[in-house]
Amino acid sequence: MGREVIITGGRPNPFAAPRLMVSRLLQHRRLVRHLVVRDLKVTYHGTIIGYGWTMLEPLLLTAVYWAVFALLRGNEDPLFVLEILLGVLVYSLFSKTMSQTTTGLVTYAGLIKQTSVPREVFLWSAGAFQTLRFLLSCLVIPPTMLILGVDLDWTLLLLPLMAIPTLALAMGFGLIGAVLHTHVRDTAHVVSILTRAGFFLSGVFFGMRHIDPVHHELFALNPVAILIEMSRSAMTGDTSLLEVEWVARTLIVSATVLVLGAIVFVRREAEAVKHL
Amino acid sequence: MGVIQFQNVTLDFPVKGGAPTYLKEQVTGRFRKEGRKRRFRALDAVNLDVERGEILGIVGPNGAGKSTILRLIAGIYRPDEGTIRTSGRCVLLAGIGTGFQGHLSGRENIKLNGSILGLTDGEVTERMEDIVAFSELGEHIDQPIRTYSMGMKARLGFAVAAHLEPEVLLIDEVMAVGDAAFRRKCQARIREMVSGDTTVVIVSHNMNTVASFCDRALCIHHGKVVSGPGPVEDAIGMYETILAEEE
Repeated sequence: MGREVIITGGRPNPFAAPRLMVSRLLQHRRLVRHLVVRDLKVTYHGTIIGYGWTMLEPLLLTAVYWAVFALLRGNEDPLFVLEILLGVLVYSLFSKTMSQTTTGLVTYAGLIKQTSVPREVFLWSAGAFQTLRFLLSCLVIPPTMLILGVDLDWTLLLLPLMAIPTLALAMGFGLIGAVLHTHVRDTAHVVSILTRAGFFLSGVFFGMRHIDPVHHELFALNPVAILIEMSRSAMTGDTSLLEVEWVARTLIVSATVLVLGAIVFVRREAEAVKHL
Repeated sequence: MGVIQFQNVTLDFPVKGGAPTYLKEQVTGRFRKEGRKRRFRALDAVNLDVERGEILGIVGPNGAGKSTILRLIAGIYRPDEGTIRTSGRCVLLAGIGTGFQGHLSGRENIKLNGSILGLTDGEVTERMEDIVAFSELGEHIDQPIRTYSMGMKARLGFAVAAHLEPEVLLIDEVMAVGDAAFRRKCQARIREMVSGDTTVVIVSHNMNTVASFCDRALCIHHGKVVSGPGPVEDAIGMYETILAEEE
């Protein structure tokens, strides 16, 4: 006799929702892996260098920034180019994860209406795919630092860990956005505009050291800006411009948004699926 | 106790006005009476008890709620009221080949589709050659499935589904796949699957299929069970009466 499943009306307990999501994801971790592999194969299908694009793309971006800032604007600081590159990588992880998660339920509507796979599996596979791309892209950072004459610091090893709070923040917003998007299809457009605006407000092309100290507190209220600054500090080993309070607040906000996203998603997804 | 039990299961769907698609409708809908939440009752206090190894047929006109019952059993929808109890792995065969990825080969799609349908990696590997042989795709199995015809995709989809070995098999109008010879093969495979302990629920508009496969049947109309579960001929008789009245 197989496992008995009892399905009733009503929404799951909010306190149990995050744990429920974790247990479903663990149960379907193989499927998440299959979906990430599928996305990798499909994204780089037909290209000559295949997965090499995950590393070549940031390298070419670095060359463009170097051309713009070092050659045209006469900014000789090699660190500045690397800071921009890292800003682009962290912000891409955040924005792509959030936008793909927001549209995830609608994108996978066909599969969702035919299979009993927990819906969050499809959304987390999008986040896992973007994280993998981020980690592969980060591999170009150490050789680029050496080429540009920047010393390597052991704190560089902490750089991959920055993906965790970034993913948590993006997934939290994305899980809420996914439910909203099934009810109101404008949600994806709003998210698209917000992520574009966020690109200029999160210090991708500038950092804490380029801002008047008077405005540091205000700038630090943006968790994505602090996540980018944390990544830059991991790269250089210089934490002089980061306050412990900002880091702690950003980590707490990221974790809280993720938990809230999980609660909203687990409690609302059954109704959301009816709108697909 | 049955393998599938429904107790007063009710399910509502949002309808236009209740499910604003764009922000404008969402905002303006708040101020219009017809824009407020309106629901369509897809199932109304349905009770059901299916025993282990039984084959139950569900008949009824389009939009009656047949496929909705299967999706509730599979756990795709959650009831608004009532309780559903199921025992064992439920697999829904509907929209054969859903989730196939055109750029991946047939073999890669078997792995992906098998995983979506609940097979472990070991089970997929173990059954791979049987699935390939059943699909009759030969050397095409290693080609991207964007090069396949619709019939070839359907054959591959059914081949995966036919090797799932679930405790509860839910079949939604997927008995007509491929050419005549392959259809016969599919039907023989389904008979093989249902001859054991597998509990099966079949939704079909083909009364011959229902009559030849099912032990019992029910007829559903406007979300309510109007006949059965009971003798197959009673449910089919009720279905034909409803069709005659609607004409």
